[in-house]
Amino acid sequence: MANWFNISCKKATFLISKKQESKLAIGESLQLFIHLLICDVCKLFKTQTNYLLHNIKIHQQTERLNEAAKEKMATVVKDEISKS
Amino acid sequence: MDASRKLNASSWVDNYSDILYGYVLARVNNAAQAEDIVQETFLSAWRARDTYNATASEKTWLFAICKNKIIDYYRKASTSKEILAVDDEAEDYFFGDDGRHWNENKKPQRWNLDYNKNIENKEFYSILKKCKNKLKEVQQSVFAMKYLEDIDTQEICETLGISVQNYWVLMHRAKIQLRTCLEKNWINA
Repeated sequence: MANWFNISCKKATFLISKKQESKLAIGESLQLFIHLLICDVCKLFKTQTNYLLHNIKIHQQTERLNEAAKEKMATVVKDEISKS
Repeated sequence: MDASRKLNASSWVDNYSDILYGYVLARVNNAAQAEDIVQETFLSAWRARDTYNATASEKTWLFAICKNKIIDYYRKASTSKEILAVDDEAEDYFFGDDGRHWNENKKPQRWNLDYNKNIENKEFYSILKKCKNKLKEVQQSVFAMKYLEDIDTQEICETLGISVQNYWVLMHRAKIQLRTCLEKNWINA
Protein backbone atom coordinates (compact mmCIF):
# COMPACT_ATOMS: atom_id res chain seq x y z
CA MET A 1 0.00 0.00 0.00
CA ALA A 2 2.80 2.39 0.87
CA ASN A 3 4.19 1.74 -2.60
CA TRP A 4 0.91 2.52 -4.23
CA PHE A 5 0.99 6.05 -2.85
CA ASN A 6 4.60 6.52 -3.61
CA ILE A 7 4.88 6.86 -7.38
CA SER A 8 8.08 7.68 -9.25
CA CYS A 9 8.89 11.02 -10.84
CA LYS A 10 8.74 9.27 -14.19
CA LYS A 11 5.15 8.20 -13.58
CA ALA A 12 4.24 11.54 -12.02
CA THR A 13 5.37 13.55 -15.04
CA PHE A 14 3.49 11.18 -17.31
CA LEU A 15 0.33 11.84 -15.31
CA ILE A 16 0.97 15.59 -15.41
CA SER A 17 1.14 15.45 -19.20
CA LYS A 18 -2.01 13.40 -19.37
CA LYS A 19 -3.90 15.69 -17.05
CA GLN A 20 -3.12 18.64 -19.30
CA GLU A 21 -5.46 17.11 -21.83
CA SER A 22 -7.87 14.79 -20.15
CA LYS A 23 -9.30 13.66 -16.85
CA LEU A 24 -7.26 11.25 -14.79
CA ALA A 25 -8.79 8.21 -13.12
CA ILE A 26 -9.47 8.80 -9.43
CA GLY A 27 -6.57 6.61 -8.36
CA GLU A 28 -4.16 8.40 -10.70
CA SER A 29 -5.41 11.75 -9.50
CA LEU A 30 -4.72 10.83 -5.91
CA GLN A 31 -1.29 9.44 -6.67
CA LEU A 32 -0.33 12.60 -8.50
CA PHE A 33 -1.73 14.85 -5.81
CA ILE A 34 0.33 13.15 -3.14
CA HIS A 35 3.46 13.14 -5.25
CA LEU A 36 3.18 16.86 -5.91
CA LEU A 37 2.90 17.56 -2.19
CA ILE A 38 6.35 16.17 -1.66
CA CYS A 39 8.17 16.73 -4.95
CA ASP A 40 9.14 20.29 -5.86
CA VAL A 41 10.88 19.25 -9.05
CA CYS A 42 7.78 17.66 -10.55
CA LYS A 43 5.76 20.66 -9.38
CA LEU A 44 8.15 22.84 -11.35
CA PHE A 45 7.72 20.57 -14.36
CA LYS A 46 3.97 21.02 -14.11
CA THR A 47 4.11 24.82 -13.80
CA GLN A 48 6.56 25.20 -16.65
CA THR A 49 4.86 22.88 -19.12
CA ASN A 50 1.47 24.48 -18.39
CA TYR A 51 3.01 27.85 -19.02
CA LEU A 52 4.63 26.77 -22.29
CA LEU A 53 1.52 25.07 -23.61
CA HIS A 54 -0.59 28.11 -22.88
CA ASN A 55 1.82 30.33 -24.77
CA ILE A 56 2.19 27.96 -27.67
CA LYS A 57 -1.57 27.96 -28.13
CA ILE A 58 -1.94 31.71 -28.38
CA HIS A 59 0.96 32.07 -30.75
CA GLN A 60 0.24 33.57 -34.15
CA GLN A 61 2.92 33.44 -36.76
CA THR A 62 3.41 36.59 -38.83
CA GLU A 63 6.09 35.65 -41.31
CA ARG A 64 5.41 36.61 -44.90
CA LEU A 65 6.04 34.84 -48.13
CA ASN A 66 8.87 36.33 -50.18
CA GLU A 67 7.99 38.10 -53.42
CA ALA A 68 9.69 35.63 -55.73
CA ALA A 69 7.81 32.71 -54.23
CA LYS A 70 4.59 34.64 -54.42
CA GLU A 71 5.05 35.44 -58.10
CA LYS A 72 5.84 31.85 -58.90
CA MET A 73 2.75 30.75 -57.06
CA ALA A 74 0.61 33.32 -58.85
CA THR A 75 1.81 31.96 -62.20
CA VAL A 76 1.04 28.37 -61.26
CA VAL A 77 -2.44 29.29 -60.08
CA LYS A 78 -3.11 31.39 -63.18
CA ASP A 79 -2.07 28.49 -65.42
CA GLU A 80 -4.44 26.19 -63.58
CA ILE A 81 -7.32 28.67 -63.94
CA SER A 82 -6.71 29.16 -67.64
CA LYS A 83 -6.87 25.42 -68.25
CA SER A 84 -10.57 25.41 -67.62
CA MET B 1 -26.49 32.15 -59.33
CA ASP B 2 -23.71 29.60 -59.24
CA ALA B 3 -21.87 30.17 -55.95
CA SER B 4 -18.47 29.39 -57.40
CA ARG B 5 -18.73 32.55 -59.49
CA LYS B 6 -18.33 34.52 -56.31
CA LEU B 7 -14.82 33.17 -55.99
CA ASN B 8 -12.14 35.57 -57.04
CA ALA B 9 -9.46 33.02 -57.83
CA SER B 10 -7.16 35.32 -59.75
CA SER B 11 -6.65 37.40 -56.60
CA TRP B 12 -6.15 34.49 -54.19
CA VAL B 13 -2.38 34.68 -54.17
CA ASP B 14 -2.44 38.44 -53.54
CA ASN B 15 -5.09 38.28 -50.89
CA TYR B 16 -4.37 35.13 -48.97
CA SER B 17 -0.91 33.71 -49.63
CA ASP B 18 0.76 35.60 -46.77
CA ILE B 19 -1.77 34.73 -44.15
CA LEU B 20 -2.00 31.11 -45.20
CA TYR B 21 1.76 30.87 -45.35
CA GLY B 22 2.16 32.24 -41.81
CA TYR B 23 -0.42 29.79 -40.61
CA VAL B 24 1.20 26.81 -42.31
CA LEU B 25 4.74 27.78 -41.37
CA ALA B 26 3.85 27.68 -37.69
CA ARG B 27 2.76 24.09 -38.21
CA VAL B 28 5.21 22.37 -40.52
CA ASN B 29 8.94 21.89 -40.60
CA ASN B 30 10.26 24.24 -43.19
CA ALA B 31 9.59 27.10 -45.55
CA ALA B 32 9.65 25.08 -48.77
CA GLN B 33 7.16 22.63 -47.34
CA ALA B 34 4.92 25.50 -46.26
CA GLU B 35 5.03 27.09 -49.71
CA ASP B 36 4.04 23.80 -51.30
CA ILE B 37 1.08 23.43 -48.99
CA VAL B 38 -0.16 26.96 -49.70
CA GLN B 39 0.15 26.44 -53.44
CA GLU B 40 -1.60 23.08 -53.25
CA THR B 41 -4.37 24.76 -51.28
CA PHE B 42 -5.05 27.20 -54.10
CA LEU B 43 -4.90 24.51 -56.77
CA SER B 44 -7.20 22.14 -54.89
CA ALA B 45 -9.59 24.97 -54.14
CA TRP B 46 -9.79 25.86 -57.80
CA ARG B 47 -10.38 22.27 -58.85
CA ALA B 48 -13.08 21.94 -56.21
CA ARG B 49 -14.69 25.32 -56.96
CA ASP B 50 -18.02 23.71 -57.74
CA THR B 51 -18.29 22.56 -54.15
CA TYR B 52 -18.06 26.10 -52.82
CA ASN B 53 -21.48 27.17 -51.65
CA ALA B 54 -20.99 30.73 -50.42
CA THR B 55 -22.31 30.04 -46.93
CA ALA B 56 -18.72 30.40 -45.76
CA SER B 57 -16.50 33.26 -46.86
CA GLU B 58 -13.87 32.60 -49.48
CA LYS B 59 -11.21 32.97 -46.81
CA THR B 60 -12.81 30.49 -44.41
CA TRP B 61 -13.22 28.03 -47.23
CA LEU B 62 -9.55 28.30 -48.25
CA PHE B 63 -8.49 27.84 -44.64
CA ALA B 64 -10.56 24.67 -44.35
CA ILE B 65 -8.85 23.24 -47.43
CA CYS B 66 -5.48 24.32 -46.11
CA LYS B 67 -6.05 22.61 -42.75
CA ASN B 68 -6.79 19.34 -44.51
CA LYS B 69 -3.53 19.67 -46.42
CA ILE B 70 -1.67 20.17 -43.15
CA ILE B 71 -3.26 17.10 -41.61
CA ASP B 72 -2.30 15.08 -44.69
CA TYR B 73 1.21 16.31 -44.16
CA TYR B 74 1.26 15.17 -40.52
CA ARG B 75 -0.11 11.81 -41.49
CA LYS B 76 2.53 11.26 -44.15
CA ALA B 77 5.32 12.48 -41.90
CA SER B 78 4.44 10.09 -39.15
CA THR B 79 3.81 7.00 -41.21
CA SER B 80 7.08 7.35 -43.04
CA LYS B 81 9.25 5.95 -40.26
CA GLU B 82 9.85 5.08 -36.71
CA ILE B 83 6.32 4.49 -35.43
CA LEU B 84 6.69 3.48 -31.94
CA ALA B 85 9.17 1.35 -30.45
CA VAL B 86 7.64 2.04 -27.07
CA ASP B 87 10.89 1.59 -25.28
CA ASP B 88 11.82 3.46 -22.16
CA GLU B 89 14.98 4.89 -23.56
CA ALA B 90 13.64 8.40 -23.95
CA GLU B 91 12.62 8.62 -20.33
CA ASP B 92 15.71 6.92 -18.98
CA TYR B 93 17.61 9.91 -20.20
CA PHE B 94 15.66 12.06 -17.79
CA PHE B 95 15.05 9.70 -14.91
CA GLY B 96 17.79 7.16 -14.68
CA ASP B 97 17.32 3.44 -14.63
CA ASP B 98 14.77 2.99 -11.91
CA GLY B 99 12.73 6.06 -12.89
CA ARG B 100 12.29 7.06 -9.26
CA HIS B 101 13.86 10.49 -9.43
CA TRP B 102 15.00 13.01 -11.98
CA ASN B 103 18.62 12.74 -13.03
CA GLU B 104 20.41 15.51 -11.20
CA ASN B 105 21.58 17.31 -14.34
CA LYS B 106 18.33 16.83 -16.25
CA LYS B 107 15.82 18.07 -13.74
CA PRO B 108 13.84 21.27 -14.28
CA GLN B 109 15.55 24.43 -13.03
CA ARG B 110 13.82 27.48 -11.64
CA TRP B 111 12.97 30.03 -14.31
CA ASN B 112 13.34 33.64 -13.48
CA LEU B 113 10.06 34.86 -14.99
CA ASP B 114 6.45 35.61 -14.18
CA TYR B 115 4.34 32.60 -15.14
CA ASN B 116 1.22 34.77 -15.25
CA LYS B 117 2.54 36.92 -18.04
CA ASN B 118 2.30 35.81 -21.64
CA ILE B 119 5.46 35.44 -23.63
CA GLU B 120 5.83 38.36 -25.96
CA ASN B 121 9.29 38.04 -27.38
CA LYS B 122 9.66 36.78 -30.90
CA GLU B 123 12.79 34.90 -30.10
CA PHE B 124 10.82 32.38 -28.10
CA TYR B 125 8.91 31.27 -31.15
CA SER B 126 11.91 30.80 -33.36
CA ILE B 127 13.56 28.73 -30.63
CA LEU B 128 10.35 26.80 -30.09
CA LYS B 129 10.38 25.96 -33.77
CA LYS B 130 13.92 24.67 -33.62
CA CYS B 131 13.09 22.61 -30.56
CA LYS B 132 10.00 21.19 -32.27
CA ASN B 133 12.09 20.18 -35.24
CA LYS B 134 14.33 18.13 -33.00
CA LEU B 135 11.44 15.88 -32.02
CA LYS B 136 10.75 12.72 -33.94
CA GLU B 137 8.26 13.35 -36.71
CA VAL B 138 5.48 11.37 -35.14
CA GLN B 139 5.92 13.34 -31.91
CA GLN B 140 5.78 16.58 -33.84
CA SER B 141 2.59 15.42 -35.50
CA VAL B 142 0.74 14.53 -32.31
CA PHE B 143 1.92 17.68 -30.62
CA ALA B 144 0.97 20.00 -33.48
CA MET B 145 -2.38 18.34 -34.08
CA LYS B 146 -3.30 18.76 -30.44
CA TYR B 147 -1.84 22.14 -29.56
CA LEU B 148 -1.97 23.96 -32.86
CA GLU B 149 -4.95 22.40 -34.62
CA ASP B 150 -6.95 21.62 -31.52
CA ILE B 151 -8.04 18.25 -32.82
CA ASP B 152 -9.35 15.82 -30.23
CA THR B 153 -7.29 12.89 -29.07
CA GLN B 154 -9.47 10.18 -30.58
CA GLU B 155 -9.34 11.77 -34.00
CA ILE B 156 -5.58 12.23 -33.84
CA CYS B 157 -5.15 8.55 -33.01
CA GLU B 158 -7.38 7.53 -35.90
CA THR B 159 -5.66 9.84 -38.37
CA LEU B 160 -2.19 8.67 -37.43
CA GLY B 161 -3.17 5.06 -36.82
CA ILE B 162 -1.86 4.86 -33.26
CA SER B 163 -3.38 3.60 -30.02
CA VAL B 164 -4.46 5.96 -27.26
CA GLN B 165 -1.80 4.52 -24.98
CA ASN B 166 0.86 5.27 -27.58
CA TYR B 167 -0.55 8.73 -27.97
CA TRP B 168 0.01 9.52 -24.28
CA VAL B 169 3.55 8.24 -24.40
CA LEU B 170 4.40 10.20 -27.55
CA MET B 171 2.79 13.35 -26.25
CA HIS B 172 4.54 13.12 -22.91
CA ARG B 173 7.90 12.63 -24.57
CA ALA B 174 7.27 15.61 -26.83
CA LYS B 175 6.51 17.81 -23.82
CA ILE B 176 9.38 16.69 -21.68
CA GLN B 177 11.82 17.20 -24.52
CA LEU B 178 10.40 20.56 -25.53
CA ARG B 179 10.60 21.83 -21.96
CA THR B 180 14.22 20.80 -21.66
CA CYS B 181 15.18 22.23 -25.03
CA LEU B 182 13.50 25.56 -24.26
CA GLU B 183 15.13 25.76 -20.87
CA LYS B 184 18.51 25.23 -22.40
CA ASN B 185 18.17 27.47 -25.44
CA TRP B 186 15.73 30.13 -24.36
CA ILE B 187 15.78 30.52 -20.58
CA ASN B 188 19.48 29.89 -20.12
CA ALA B 189 20.67 31.18 -23.46
